[in-house]
Amino acid sequence: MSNRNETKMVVDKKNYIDPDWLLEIRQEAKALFKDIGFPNSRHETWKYLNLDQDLDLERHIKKTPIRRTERDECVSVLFKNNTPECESILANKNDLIITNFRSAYAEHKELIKSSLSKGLLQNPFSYLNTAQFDDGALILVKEGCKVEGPIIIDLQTHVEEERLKGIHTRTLIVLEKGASATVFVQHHSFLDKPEFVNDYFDIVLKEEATLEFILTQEGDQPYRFETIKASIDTKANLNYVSFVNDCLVTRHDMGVDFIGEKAVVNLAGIALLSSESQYFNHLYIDHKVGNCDCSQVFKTILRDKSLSEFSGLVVVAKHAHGTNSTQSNPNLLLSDNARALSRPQLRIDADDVECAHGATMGQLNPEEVFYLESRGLNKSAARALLTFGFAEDIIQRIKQPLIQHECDLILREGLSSYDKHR
Amino acid sequence: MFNIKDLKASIGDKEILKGINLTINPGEVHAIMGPNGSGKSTLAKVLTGHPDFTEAEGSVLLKGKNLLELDPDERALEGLFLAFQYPVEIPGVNNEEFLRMAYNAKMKKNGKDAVDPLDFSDFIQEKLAKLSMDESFLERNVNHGFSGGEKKRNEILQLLVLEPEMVILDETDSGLDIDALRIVAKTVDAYRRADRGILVITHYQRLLDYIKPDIVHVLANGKIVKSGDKSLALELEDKGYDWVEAEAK
Repeated sequence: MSNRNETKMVVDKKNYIDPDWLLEIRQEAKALFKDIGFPNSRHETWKYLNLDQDLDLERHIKKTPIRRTERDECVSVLFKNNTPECESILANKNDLIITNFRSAYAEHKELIKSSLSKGLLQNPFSYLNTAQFDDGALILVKEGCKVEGPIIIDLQTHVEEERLKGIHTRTLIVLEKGASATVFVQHHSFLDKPEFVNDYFDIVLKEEATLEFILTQEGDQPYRFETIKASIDTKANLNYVSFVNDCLVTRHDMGVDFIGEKAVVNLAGIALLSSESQYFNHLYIDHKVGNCDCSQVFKTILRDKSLSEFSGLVVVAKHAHGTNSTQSNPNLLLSDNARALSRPQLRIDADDVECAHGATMGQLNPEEVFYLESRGLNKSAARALLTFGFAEDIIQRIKQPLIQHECDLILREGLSSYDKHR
Repeated sequence: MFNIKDLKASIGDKEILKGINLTINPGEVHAIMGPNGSGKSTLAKVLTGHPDFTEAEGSVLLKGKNLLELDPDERALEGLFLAFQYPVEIPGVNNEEFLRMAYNAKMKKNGKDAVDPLDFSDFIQEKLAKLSMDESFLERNVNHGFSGGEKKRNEILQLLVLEPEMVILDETDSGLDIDALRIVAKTVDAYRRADRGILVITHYQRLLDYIKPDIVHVLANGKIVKSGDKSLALELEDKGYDWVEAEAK
């Protein structure tokens, strides 16, 4: 199939069919999905997420408020259900390309193809995404280009005439050598029926590229699964912050591959969970090469009957000397009925490494509460401030000031009701 | 103004404070010295209402109110302040925001309006200058990542903001280098006023070179075993505590 033919197909949306190579990849992904099978509690990494559970889904539908601060300077990619609307985005082709896959299959076939050929181990939904996604969005920052304002990915779910069979969005973010950018992902739901959402982000950082990636999720679809796959080359830098604000069932699967030395990756997250919310956070950090730093701090605040699961595996390959990888999972339990499960794990085959991992479960530290009380704050105010600080510590890791401010506001709003529950 | 009567406190079955009596009149500075394990820090905790010591016996009157019947925040609002030996680190909580909340809690108690961030910012600049503290202290999180000396200075900054009537300094000199010690001690000394009381808990008399006490007490084995003037501190520095403990027996 020639490039010219592919380009033509994009223009003719109604009669669009996937190119042959894509159809092949989709078939393979479908086969892999079937092979692993629909997850159930017998799968180790799906032990605590019961997909058949009898949740009162419709009760939990929360339309997300549209939040927009002054974003005149920002570039936005809007997904309406499965489809990105980025054909009209004005971007200088020499520096920043934002386009949908269909328009890019010709020019960037190899880039997209290699991204689509990957999946995340143990996560059948990443294969399902490859098999099912409609069109994807490609964000390509060219060599040396520094994108100033944040690039916003707005994932919206809308009512359609026909009931959707799940929403599968696909985004590929590639930063070429020395490029830098900030990407902010947010979700908006306009649905009144529960929907299954399965987003996939593929991040490719070439040498010396710098990306800040912030993923926020607020009360919306009852089931929202996110797969984030990052490949990190020499001296590249990734700052990742996730913020889950009370969604019914959320699963994050994140895989980071270090493929070049002297790279630095900081991963952090905060999840506020209440009522029957469940959050499953799975990390897979693969130090294939040495001399890279990776810090991971994922915090959870649990109230009511909420549940969180953290499973983090750091793998250091035999020759990956000089690796520095730390993992921590502090959980703040504000109710006797909340549950936090934590499995920080290390698998180290190299000798000269610095690795640490740990998890904490508990209430607020009484010494900290006392310290604030001794300054005249009453117990309830002291506890509220400490709970806020526990979460804000993560939000402060967002470097982009506009996004940090926005997340800070969401956090303050999210925690404003916490006093009453104690 | 500050009256401790027969104060007893225990952890489990172990009695740590075995009946302490102490009166601090307005304008006075008292120092408590004593060997390790004598109960100095416990005394500071009991006075401020630490949750480990809710069952303390006796009475502690500040301007006629029994502090032992009050929660820690109520004691603070009555005008009691403890500069902690080990100030707690609080990640995620901005120092200026915290100071303003504490200040506004006091304003509320006094029936005054809360100050807004801008007015508070002006107010605090002057306090920072007194302690030779950089403005960046305000932007940082409460004590988080502070050096030992920075934490102690931050305690004194809180003291200046809250303007308490009764101040307890729990080993504020530990962890300070010579320059920082001088700045902190001079700031505290300048805080002396006819209507304020100060209780300095310390191991060493060097802090007392700057904050000259009216009375020095020796705490040993949970009791005040000797009291005297400033010269007692020098004598202790010279001879150690053994002779006082022996004398007490």
